[in-house]
Amino acid sequence: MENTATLVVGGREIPLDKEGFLRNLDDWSPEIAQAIAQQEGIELSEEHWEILRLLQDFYREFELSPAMRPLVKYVGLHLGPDKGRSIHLMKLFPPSPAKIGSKIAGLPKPTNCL
Amino acid sequence: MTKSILALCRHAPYGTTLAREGIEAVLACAAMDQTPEVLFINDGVYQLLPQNPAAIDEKNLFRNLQALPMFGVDQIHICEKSVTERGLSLAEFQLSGAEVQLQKDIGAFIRRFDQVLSF
Repeated sequence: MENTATLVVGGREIPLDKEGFLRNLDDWSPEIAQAIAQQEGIELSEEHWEILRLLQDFYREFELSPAMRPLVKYVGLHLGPDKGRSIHLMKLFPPSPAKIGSKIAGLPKPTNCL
Repeated sequence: MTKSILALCRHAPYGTTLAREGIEAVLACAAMDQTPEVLFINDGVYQLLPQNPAAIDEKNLFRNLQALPMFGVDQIHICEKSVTERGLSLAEFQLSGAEVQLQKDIGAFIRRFDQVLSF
């Protein structure tokens, strides 16, 4: 039995699963991203947003959420080798960038985060 | 000592869950640093043709497969006989960023691997 966590944003109750991922991906908005990030203790800067946008691009392109290595590769491909490094992503979305980033970007939980 | 792993994708993309299970296993292996090679054979070759599964409310397996090179899986093989028998040609298969090789002698090819996962 799942417990039903919710996030209240702008007076609306947004249902989350027990790990804090959106239950309905259509609920996503930049305000909701801010709220989820806050729960993760992350203050979103433009450096965060460019990764979140890439996560959403990745999902649109492949219809799945990336694990760490493909995320690093994808970021490197689009933002260059300086940002396409795990250390850069770890700094932005500790402790597991693929999972936390996907959560804030409104993607489903990566299936192969074992 | 890392073992070499081959994933055999033998079934059509929809109608059973085998094709989906296959890619999930491949991605999980890749995430665990045990990157497999993949062979599409029999009706599995249809997995590599563009699809429109929204009609049956399924996720797009073809699009998922395009992510294989991103996950480090860039050795993709296709059984030549399966392609010919279905009146298809190599030019119809798309997998960006991966080197796609046609394999003739499937028995000898499969014997090269330590572990074979069949889907």
